[in-house]
This record gives sequence, structure tokens and C-alpha cells, in this order.
Amino acid sequence: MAGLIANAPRKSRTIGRRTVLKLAAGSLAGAIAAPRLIGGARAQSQTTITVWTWGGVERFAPRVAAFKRLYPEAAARINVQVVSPGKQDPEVYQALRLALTSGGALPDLVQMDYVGMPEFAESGSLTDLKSMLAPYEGDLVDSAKQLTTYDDQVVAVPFQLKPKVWFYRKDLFEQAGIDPAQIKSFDDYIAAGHKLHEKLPKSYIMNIGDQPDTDLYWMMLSNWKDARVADRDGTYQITKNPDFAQVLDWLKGWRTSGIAFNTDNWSSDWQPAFADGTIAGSLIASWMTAFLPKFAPEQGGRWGITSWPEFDRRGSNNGGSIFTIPAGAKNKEAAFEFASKMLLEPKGALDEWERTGNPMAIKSVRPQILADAKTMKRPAGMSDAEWALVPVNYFGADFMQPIFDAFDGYQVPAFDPAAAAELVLMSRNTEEFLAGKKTRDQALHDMEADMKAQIGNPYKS
Amino acid sequence: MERASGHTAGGRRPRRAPIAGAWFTPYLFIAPFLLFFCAIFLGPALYSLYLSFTRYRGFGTPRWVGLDNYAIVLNYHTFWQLLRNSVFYWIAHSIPMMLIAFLLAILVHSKLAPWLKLFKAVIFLPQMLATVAAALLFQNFFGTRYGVLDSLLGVEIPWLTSQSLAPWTVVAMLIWRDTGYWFIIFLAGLTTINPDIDDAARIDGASEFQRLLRITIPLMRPTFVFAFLVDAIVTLRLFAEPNVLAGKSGALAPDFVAPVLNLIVQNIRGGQFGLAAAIGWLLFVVIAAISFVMFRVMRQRNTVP
Repeated sequence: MAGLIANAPRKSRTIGRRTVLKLAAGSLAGAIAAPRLIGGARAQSQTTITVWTWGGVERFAPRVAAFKRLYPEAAARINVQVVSPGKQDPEVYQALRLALTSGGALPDLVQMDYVGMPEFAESGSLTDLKSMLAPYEGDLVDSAKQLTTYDDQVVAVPFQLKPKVWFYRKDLFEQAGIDPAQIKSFDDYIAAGHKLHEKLPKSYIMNIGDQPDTDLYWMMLSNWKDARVADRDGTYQITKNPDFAQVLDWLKGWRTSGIAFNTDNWSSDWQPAFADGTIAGSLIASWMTAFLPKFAPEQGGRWGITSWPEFDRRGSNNGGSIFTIPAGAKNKEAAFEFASKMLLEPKGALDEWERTGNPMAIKSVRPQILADAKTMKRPAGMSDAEWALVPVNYFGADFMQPIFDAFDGYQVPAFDPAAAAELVLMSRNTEEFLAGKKTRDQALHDMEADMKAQIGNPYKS
Repeated sequence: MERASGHTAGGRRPRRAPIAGAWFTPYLFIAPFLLFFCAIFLGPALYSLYLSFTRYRGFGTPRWVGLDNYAIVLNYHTFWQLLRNSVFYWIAHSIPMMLIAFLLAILVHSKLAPWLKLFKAVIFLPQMLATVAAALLFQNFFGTRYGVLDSLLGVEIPWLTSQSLAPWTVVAMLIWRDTGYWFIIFLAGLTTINPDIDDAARIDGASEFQRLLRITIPLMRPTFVFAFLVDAIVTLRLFAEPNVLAGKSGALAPDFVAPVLNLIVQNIRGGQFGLAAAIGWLLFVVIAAISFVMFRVMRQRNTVP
């Protein structure tokens, strides 16, 4: 290299020096001018926050667009950059672990399901949001307050609350002479299932296969507020607490009574079984309002919504979804401002409800949501077919009321920091029990033994 | 001239004066590979070996637990069940698949069948399909009530949820998908056999079957060794096919159909990095042992006069 320069003509060496000087001066001027040229808004000190979510950036993009539309002044200061580390929430936790251990750039806002949060809260990796959330606390519904908290720490902004909701085919129930309000006990439910299937042999009151969702197990278990896998001192409760056995008995009861169509949620047979009327009911959560119209588009107006029967009415689907701010995040205030404006302020919350049907965490918008549902107009550009599938049309304009009613029994499960690993071991032993490979007590014993061996004390492992 | 030919008039190589630093020149050439190998494979592999002796959530400080993780895994019945599944997939699909692929290669190589180019393309076609797309195709085909096969037959056979049938559905998919790949490898192997040997045998009166048995198969042995070894390694690390086929919308497959790799993924998702690393290393030992035994057996056969 040195040789090449030495052999170069003298003239070109002079030009080179000038060129270098010009380039340097140009670069400096460019660096100063560039932000002004690219966009005036960015000239004033704009903070870029990074939001981690799952399922693709596109899914989150309408929220960012709404932020710019509803809060132009804040959007001029806060630029929202969305990153999707994976398709599902465990991939977000995995990416966060990696960022925490590598000391790399941490996101400013992380979407989590409540089940994933205790691991990070327990290790002190999340920002305490108590003072930031204080101005909004009076307007939060009680269930949302549960969702923001882990072990007396306030670490989350509530995003999607998922109360337990029962979807049922009004027309088929009516034909079979079943009134959901009269179904109180587990036996009532089984009897109603038999009645429906006898009257309409093609239809079933529910579906369950050999491998039910771990979500279902915890959804049922969350009926009892104190049902937890282990105490803080590492004493396991699975074999001691009768609630765990009760859930297994119910699952087995559903499987063996003949009232359930033999397939699991999210199997390839699940969706078509809704569409052809085989599945006439589902004990699930409020998020199903977004899926049922797609599963059974021909059945608009035929589905009713109510709370789960009394025997397992309380609880939620893993609590729901939240936003957390890592303790090491650089732009905590800006991240909270974005989240709070879109989820905790009436303007943002109403817009969020209109876009997603998410039953929001603040009290002040509920009357407006109920009123808006009755007067909602078709957005420009939406076809007749698409408009028919919007929940207010598919389920009826009053569909939000039973969802709000279901919040009365809302409870978040008592997850611990090893919840993700525990769910796998619970699911594995439940499947073996349902397949007849283990007795109930053996399954519970093995669940506990597997957790003791592989996890140890979940609060210290 | 002498330098160009590399020889002196006497036919001996001239002695070159040693160049300072020349000893490390070859290492400089392989340095980029070594650097990447150490940074991307060896370093992480050694770190995972260290992690396998610890309890580690993925952040914070790993806690040394000695051989505990290995003891836990070896005493965990699910590990053995999932390992059995992986070995089953390997054995159940490998032999019929290799046989079919080899027979197809013989057929195409012999030029007995018409439309050979079309055959080659059709046989290789499943390989062109992404694994996940192929698995989704099979999922729709083998669905219980609404699957194509059951609808055609007018039955409700739980191909994907029955504990006895689901593993065979995975095997069917592996055979369907991988036959084309090994067909091409075998076809390439057949073209390396000197046709003069075959011609000589034909002149000596050997039948088609005798030539296949005594000439083609023995000469194809190195290709077979390669095929069976690589297929064993790939199948024991199987992950996508059973999970997409028998798993529910993004979830992992149930244990009766799950490969051993699922345990690693589940432990990583659950923040149990020590256990995940221990399972990884145990799987490495199993694959190394199987490969070693296969290599020895096939090499011994090769040395028989």
C-alpha cells in the first residue's frame, strides 16, 4: 500500500489531499444538515424507543400509526421502532434473556404474557412502575391492577386482559332446550352436554382431545386465587393442594363423558368443526371474539357469550398480556408515555378497542365502548363480507357487556419465576393421565417430582 | 527454465532458501476458517459444555451443580421416550427409503424406463418443498375428520393424534420427502462405476441380477456408507417434521411423537439452559456412538476380500 502511494504521480497526491479535505468538510456539513433535510420533526431531539412484541411487526404497526394520528405532539418527540423477536411469546423472553446476559441493547418496552413476567421481575430486571402508574391507578379496573403486579412490585402496564368467557351456539342450545344461565355445577354442564348431543347428534357442547392446552389447565386452576405450584421456601403444593386434582378430574370427566368432540384447540380439526356446527360451545377466553368469526363466518348472530359456569367461573387465561420496561432500558419515560397514552388514556384506549376489540383496562371508557358498539359505522373501504365479521355485527352490538361481566371473577394465576418450565411438566403428566397411562395421583406425584428434580425451588433456581 | 520445470538437469529439486516466517503461511490461509470455526462453533460448544454443569436461567450467574443435570436427564423417563422416538424415526424410515431411492436410481441409470428426465424431476420434487410447507400439506391430508385421506375413505382414523399411528405418519412423510435427495446421490454414485467392469461381466455371461449383486452394490458401498451415516445424523437431530405435523399451531408435538430435540427446545424456552446443554451433549454422544459403530461395521465389510 505504501509502495503504491510512493509511486503515484506528484499531481495526484496534491489533488488527493485537497479531495480529502473537501470530503471531510462536506461530510461534517452533511452530518449537521442531514436531520434537517430528512425531516424537520427529527430536528428537535427525538427519542427512539424500541418495542419488542411477537407475531410480526405488521401486527403492531396500526398501533404506532394510531399513536401518530392521536398524539402528534408526542409522536414528534417519540419515534417508535418495533421489533418482533419471534412468532410466540417464549421467543421474546428468550431474546430478552440474551440481551440481559450479553449486556447488549435492551428494548425500552417489552410485550409479555403475564406467565413470562415473574422470571424477570424476581431477578430485578424490570423497572418499578409504581410512581409512573400512580396517576392512572384510580381509573384502572381491579383486574388490571392484578395484572400490573408481581409479589407487591408494580412492574407492568396492562395491555390485553383475558377474562374467561363461554361461547355457545344460541340457536343449537335453544333447540336442545338448554339455558346456559341454569348451568351451575360440573354435573349440570355434563348433563347439558348429553342433552345437546342427544337432541343434535352431530353437535357437541365442547371439544377436548388427548393433549389439551396447558393454557386450559391454568385457566381452570386460576379459579382458585392461591393455587400455586410452590411456596417461596420451595415447598411444592401440587400433591397437597386439592385444586390440582380437581382440575385433572374435570378434564378427565370431559374426555370420558362423551359430551366433547375429540379434538384439541388449535388442531387441524378444530376450526372446521366450528364451521360445520360440530362444536357448539367453547369454554375459553375473551380473545376468541377475534377468531370465531374467521372460523365460522356463516354463523354470524348465532353465537352467544357469557361467563363460565359457576363451578369454575373465576380466573383468566394466564392473566393476559402486559408491557414491561427493562430496568436497563435507556428511554423509560418515553416508553411509558407511549404505552400509557395508547392504553391508559381514554383517547388511545378507545381507539385501541375500535381497532382490536381488546376490552381495555380503564373504567372511564367502558360506557363509551358499550355506546360505540351500538352505533359503530362501517369504515371506508371495508367490504360487506368483512363488515359482517366485525364482532359488533357477528356477535351483536351488546357483545361487550358479558365480557365486562366476566371481569367480576377475573383473577391472575399465581405464577412463579419458573412457570414456563412448570407448564411443560404439567402438560406432559396431564397428557399421560388423560391417555390412561397414569392414575390421577400418580400424575400429580410425577408432576411434582419432575419439578423438584428439574427446577428445584422455582424462586431460587 | 529450470525454475519453470521445477527440476535441475540432474532431475533433483533445487533446495530453496528458507523464507523467514514461511512456517506460518499455511496457517494464515486457514486462519479465516479457524477464526470462524472457533467463534461460531467451538467457542459456543465449549461454553455449552460448561453450562451443562450449571443451573443457568439465561442471564445472571450460572450456578455450578456438577453432574446433576446429566443425572436428572438420564433418570428422566421422557428423555428416553423421546430418544426412542428419534431412533425409531431413523430406523423406520432409513431402510425403506434407501431401498426405494436405490431402486429408482438403478431404474433411471439403466435407461429401461421412458421419460427419464421427467422421472428425475418428479422424484426430486418433494425436496424442493420447504419442510414446514410439506408438513402442513401432510397435516391437511391426514387430518382426522376433515383430512383428505379420511374424507376420501369415509372413515375417521386419527392419523395424527393416535399414539400408534402418528409416528408412522411422520415416517411416511420422511420417506416421501427424502427419497428424492438420496435418489440423486445414488444416481451420482452409479455414474462413477466404470462401465467396462459391467461390460466385462456381461460378456462373461453374468445376468442382470448377478451384476447388480456382485458389481454394482459392492462398488457403491462408499456411497452407502456416506448415505446411511449422514441420514442417521440428520434424523437423530430431527425437529421440524414431527412438530409441524403433530403439533398444534406453533406448539411442540406431544411426547409420543416428539423427537429428542424437543426436550432441548422446551428447556431453553423454560430458561433451563443447564439441562438443555446436558441433553445436547448426551445427544452428541449418542450420535457419535451410532456413527462410530456404523462406520466400523461398514468399513469391516468393505475390507472383506
